[in-house]
Amino acid sequence: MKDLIRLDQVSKEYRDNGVPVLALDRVSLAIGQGEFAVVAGPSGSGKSTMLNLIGGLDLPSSGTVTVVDRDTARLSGSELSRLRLDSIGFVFQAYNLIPVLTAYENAEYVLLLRGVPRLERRERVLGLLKTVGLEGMENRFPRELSGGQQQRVAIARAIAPEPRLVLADEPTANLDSKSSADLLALMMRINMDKNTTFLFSTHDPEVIRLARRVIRLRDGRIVSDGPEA
Amino acid sequence: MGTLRMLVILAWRSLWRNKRRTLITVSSIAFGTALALFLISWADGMYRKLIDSAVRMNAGHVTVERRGYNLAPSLSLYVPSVERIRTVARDLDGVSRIKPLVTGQAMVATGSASAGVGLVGVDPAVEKEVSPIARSIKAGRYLEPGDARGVVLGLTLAKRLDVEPGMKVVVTCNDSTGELVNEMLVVTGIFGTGMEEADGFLIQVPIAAARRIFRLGPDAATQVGLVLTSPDRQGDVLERMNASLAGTGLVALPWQEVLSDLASFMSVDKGSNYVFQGIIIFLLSFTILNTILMSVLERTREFATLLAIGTAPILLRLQIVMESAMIGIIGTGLGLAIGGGISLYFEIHGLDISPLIGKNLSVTGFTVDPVLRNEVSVRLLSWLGSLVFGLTLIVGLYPAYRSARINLPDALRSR
Repeated sequence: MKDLIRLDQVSKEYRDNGVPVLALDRVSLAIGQGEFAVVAGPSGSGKSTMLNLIGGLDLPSSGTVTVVDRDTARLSGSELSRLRLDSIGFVFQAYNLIPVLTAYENAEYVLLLRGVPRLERRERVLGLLKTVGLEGMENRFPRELSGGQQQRVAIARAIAPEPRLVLADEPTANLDSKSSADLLALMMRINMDKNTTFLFSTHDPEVIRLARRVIRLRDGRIVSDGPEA
Repeated sequence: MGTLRMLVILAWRSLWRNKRRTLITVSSIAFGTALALFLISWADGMYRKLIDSAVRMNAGHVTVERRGYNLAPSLSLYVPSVERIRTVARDLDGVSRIKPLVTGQAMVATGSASAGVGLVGVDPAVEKEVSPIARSIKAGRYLEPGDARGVVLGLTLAKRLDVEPGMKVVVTCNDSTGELVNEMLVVTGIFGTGMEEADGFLIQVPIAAARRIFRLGPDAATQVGLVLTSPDRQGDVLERMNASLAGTGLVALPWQEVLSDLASFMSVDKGSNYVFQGIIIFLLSFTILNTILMSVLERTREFATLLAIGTAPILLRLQIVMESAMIGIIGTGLGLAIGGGISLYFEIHGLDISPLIGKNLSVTGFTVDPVLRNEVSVRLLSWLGSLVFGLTLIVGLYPAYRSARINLPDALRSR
């Protein structure tokens, strides 16, 4: 399997009130197309930092992050935008929907940026909203949806352009157990159907249990990597 | 096209997320624009009235005279043939009236008093149509073309000389050859313009009498004034007159050169008005900046999300510029509509400021009717609208720049 993501000796250092904090410490990792993997670990272990680096939202202090054969540190701001637009879908813990856009428009937005024709956009977005169980709620604004429904819209938005990779930062953290289970089932189905790579950061045991690969982090270092025992 | 549509939707809906703030900003822009429009059109109306009054009483919007006369007026610098000027000017678009003048210095005396005056020979038929003096006769009547020895003088001068219509005065002056001459004239009327200089210093006689007194030719004049249908025609008329006067020693001058004191006053007054209006607009720009910047800073997480999912920074900035543009269009449009409506009302009905300033409004010696009328023009609406709208766009550039300069990981986690 060809690597979709590769981290080579990646470190990330922050400054917190002038004090250096090592969030990731010489991490190396490879993730292939179609994997359904989880980055697990306690708070402050470096999960979100790792996802931010892979998503091109942040750059490493040292080492190289390669996503879809591209070294993120060598890309300009607009090239990183393009990489995210073309290849990466994001699902955030707090849903991060655009409050002034309806569910339909939120999901449609990325397709618009990619220049997908109107009819195709409509067909794809309506299909996706149906897939995530939001048929009939297309014209609702985020404030009119529950947390679980908002996260479903976020997933529809993330997978609408059919990206090769979906990065989900604690996507079930704000959901009840039923919504979490539904959401995970949905993402697993998409993973199976579309061969989309899913990489989660979580400390939700249910998500960890379902993942085929669990990368455990502690203090910025990988302590284990493989199927959960 | 679809992306642009989505940006417009995003910008428009974001604008109304905080309705109160947007309404306050739109109202501020509208108020500032309306106020500036009213003040500018009011000043323009006053200037137009002032110019109209001054050029009609003096030597027109465009004055034909001998080169050098303007700098050192002398009877020896005269226009030899008014008819020649009349022939050229008559065919020019925009020329409403042609008023020949013979102007010189003289002494007027009665049995009991005397005074130095400015003697102006005029064509009574033309003056009756254009000059405020002919319309401000307080006693007797204005000059008639057949008055060989008639004279009209101002109220102040008449009081000083203690004369009334029907009484005789003696005019003493040097003619164009330098000889001292006397002429007895009969007062036909007394005018009261409210202009100190005109009422106390000016006397008018028929132009034939002035030519006789100053010993000028039967078709000569010191100046030939062209009163235009609109001041806007001045440039065109000047150009064509000067082209036809080439090589004659005569020149056509704009009123701004002939009445340079008035032109300077207006220039200074306009300048101070612009400073005042500039201050209003400057303060306005801070209101706009505050609104847009606040709205940008409040949406950091939203912008981070848009950037994270692949929005190019330029599109995000364009969205903010669109928000500024929308605020600008609504505010400026409202301001122009309100200010334009009020100004148009006063353009039609006039605003009588006599209770505030007394009976006469005098500016650099010229009296203006205290019923002032605004002057609204498409040109004024366009440039003021463009200025305020352009300002909102410029002010929106900094928030637009800031919008995409954010730390994505931090902003995505923020609430």
